[in-house]
Amino acid sequence: MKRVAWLALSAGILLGCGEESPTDVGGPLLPAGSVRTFEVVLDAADFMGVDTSFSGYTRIQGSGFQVVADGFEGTLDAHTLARFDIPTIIAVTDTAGVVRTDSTPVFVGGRIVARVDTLRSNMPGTVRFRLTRIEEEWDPATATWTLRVDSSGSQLAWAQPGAAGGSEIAAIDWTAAGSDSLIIPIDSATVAEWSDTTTTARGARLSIVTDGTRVRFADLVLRVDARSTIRPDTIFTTTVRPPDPTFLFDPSLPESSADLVLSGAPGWRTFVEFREDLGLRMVPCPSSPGCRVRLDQVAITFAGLLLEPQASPPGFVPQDSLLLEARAVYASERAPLARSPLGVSVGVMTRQIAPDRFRDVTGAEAIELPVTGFVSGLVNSDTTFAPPSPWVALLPYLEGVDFGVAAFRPLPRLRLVLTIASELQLR
Amino acid sequence: MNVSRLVPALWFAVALPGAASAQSLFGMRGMGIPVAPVDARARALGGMGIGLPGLNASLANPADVAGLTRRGIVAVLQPGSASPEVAGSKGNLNASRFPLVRLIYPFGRLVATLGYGSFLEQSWGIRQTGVERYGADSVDVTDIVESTGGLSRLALGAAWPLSERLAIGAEVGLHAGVLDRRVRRTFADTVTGLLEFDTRYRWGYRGALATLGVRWDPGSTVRLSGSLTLADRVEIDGRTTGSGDDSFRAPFRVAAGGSAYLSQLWLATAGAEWSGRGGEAESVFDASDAIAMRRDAWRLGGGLEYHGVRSGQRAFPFRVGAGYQQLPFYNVGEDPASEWSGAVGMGFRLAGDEANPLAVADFAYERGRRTGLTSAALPDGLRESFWRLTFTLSLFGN
Repeated sequence: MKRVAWLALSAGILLGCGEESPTDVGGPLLPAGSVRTFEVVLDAADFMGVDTSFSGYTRIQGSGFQVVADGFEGTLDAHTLARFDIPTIIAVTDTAGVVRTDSTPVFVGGRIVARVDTLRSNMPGTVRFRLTRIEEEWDPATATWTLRVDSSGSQLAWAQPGAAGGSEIAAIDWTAAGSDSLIIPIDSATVAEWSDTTTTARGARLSIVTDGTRVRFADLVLRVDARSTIRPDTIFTTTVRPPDPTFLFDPSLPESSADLVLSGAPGWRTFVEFREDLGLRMVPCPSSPGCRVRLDQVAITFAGLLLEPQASPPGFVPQDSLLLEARAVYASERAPLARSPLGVSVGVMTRQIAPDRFRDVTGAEAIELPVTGFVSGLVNSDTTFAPPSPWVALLPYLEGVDFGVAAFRPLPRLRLVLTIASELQLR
Repeated sequence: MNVSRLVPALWFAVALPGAASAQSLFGMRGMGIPVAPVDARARALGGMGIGLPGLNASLANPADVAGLTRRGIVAVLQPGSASPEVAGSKGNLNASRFPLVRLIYPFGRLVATLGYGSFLEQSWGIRQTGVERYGADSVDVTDIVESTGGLSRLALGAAWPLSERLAIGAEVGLHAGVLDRRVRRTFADTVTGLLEFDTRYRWGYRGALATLGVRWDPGSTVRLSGSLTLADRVEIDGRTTGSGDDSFRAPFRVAAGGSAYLSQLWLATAGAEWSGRGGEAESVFDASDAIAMRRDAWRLGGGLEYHGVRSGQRAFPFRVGAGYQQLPFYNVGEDPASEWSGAVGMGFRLAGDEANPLAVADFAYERGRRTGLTSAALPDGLRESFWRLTFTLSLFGN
């Protein structure tokens, strides 16, 4: 008896536990427009408070590239500076194949090898580079166009702005065809000067003297040739990489801007403050004529800041395409906004922006930066997805890799794609 | 038979699947599609479950359990499938539900019961695809709308035999339930960055009910039975953001039926039930934009039971029946719908006698068709053929 009962029970349970899929028919039985997705574009006044930009988020010295320019876009001059610490000991392989050290090498000359980033450079054809000595004491970590030392306790100006005035080492015409390496010979006397580690009044200044050009170097090294008593018949070449290469440029940009400025070196970021009561904003909805609905009563399917490009400051057009990212900001009264820590990414562009978008801006379309997660969290602030503050920071996805800056008009608009299920009530 | 061991198992079986999914697209209208709280025997005999001799655990009339002397439990499982057809498109729905669970506990001549039964079923699911235009863009979308739940009745009852031929019964309880609706929209990946839309609504139902019933055996082979159910307004409590409160005037119900032995081997039964508030069709909900209507509705059914197959103490009755019901809910601009069904079934009385069995298993197989909800937009309305199996397991102790 029990067996029969349990069998019946088990069969019942098995039959009763199936999960079924919804049917593909029946749509016409739902009220028309049961679920609607629609677009709303908000002007700045309707969704944000303040926008502002600050620079200084990346260092030139750590950027991994150098720039030279001569009247680029009629304005920009830039020089690359490097101080080489030439070794006093070199490694030599003797005739037996054994590697030995020689502490008394004789340097017979060398050459500076600069790898030109031709894709990120602006030069019409043959250009002329000039290498001069730096004959004043200077600090690679803090030097600027006007100051050779700019530390907190000391500010010392160059005799001539831009580390100019040093004697010429070499000048060379160069064309990108066939090679991306610029090679400038250095004589033994100069190598000897640069080997004197008792003074900081040494170094090389590389400049370009072809008007309207801007060239970016991806790498800069000194290759010095030496003879050794271990194998006198052989020239040994040692590669010396400057520990802190830098570049100076003029004019400089201000430290903050009312425009929306991003990227560059030192790096720029833009901060946009959204309205904390964004969820209470009424927006038009498509359900019926005159329909309006509160933002916190619809689902945010997509939100994107519409950024209108404007011309970058002369000389500072981006060198390469760039992606922009939006990140949450831990803004608080305890720290200035510019130094507020950033939170998680809340949106990344899916398509890169070409540099030309910041050169010719006539009739330019707006560029959209997704901020869906941020807006959704802000509108539904009672959820775990609420952002830490109503501020969002806009910055390049890769910071500090471009000398140029991306500029946008202030007061961006916000495009919202919203979805609402308005016809599924009990009625 | 140790009933105390099997009771937890039966309750476990009832609780396991929770609400079933995708019962019928007719459940989209108003408060759903009526589901009678009857067992497999009643299903096979036309679905009325009133005025049947022997064990009759259906919730149609609280007086019908009078005379039972054993305590026990009855549980009903009902898997089924429906094939809806709308605007020339055909689909399929499969689901299971537990339309009835009833505890029976005699105290001397008084038989107390605790019953849980289905009343209105609102489980359905629809998937539809389309193109949505927004701003200057458009995107392919897939919408899935799912509704799960409905209104059930939970009642505490008692039956009392006034004499050998006359018994009365009463029940008080609740109309209660939960309805979940989930709406999802997914976007084709041709447009990046669009978040899936997924929102859920939940409502809770609660309202009081009371049933009075009488059973009369005018002769040794004839039984008549009738009941009246009065119901309070069912309050609809929106439990999520966006799901509004409302209320629903639950219908009164009058049921009557009877059965008669045509011979020692053949039993005939028939019944009718009217549910409604009287008067013209009315709006189901109070909301100002309500579009759901409710009409007074009839349910009719009858069948034959054959007792010729036996094996010792065991009996294996065969049953055949048919039923018809008017579906009460439809939208403004639509015509109401109706359902008919035919059924066959079989019982297995494994121990005990007919009046007080110890263990009974019954099953019924029904096929039927629902039609209606025609409108100017849908001239053919909704047509739905269905089949369903009903299993009942009844276990009693001494």
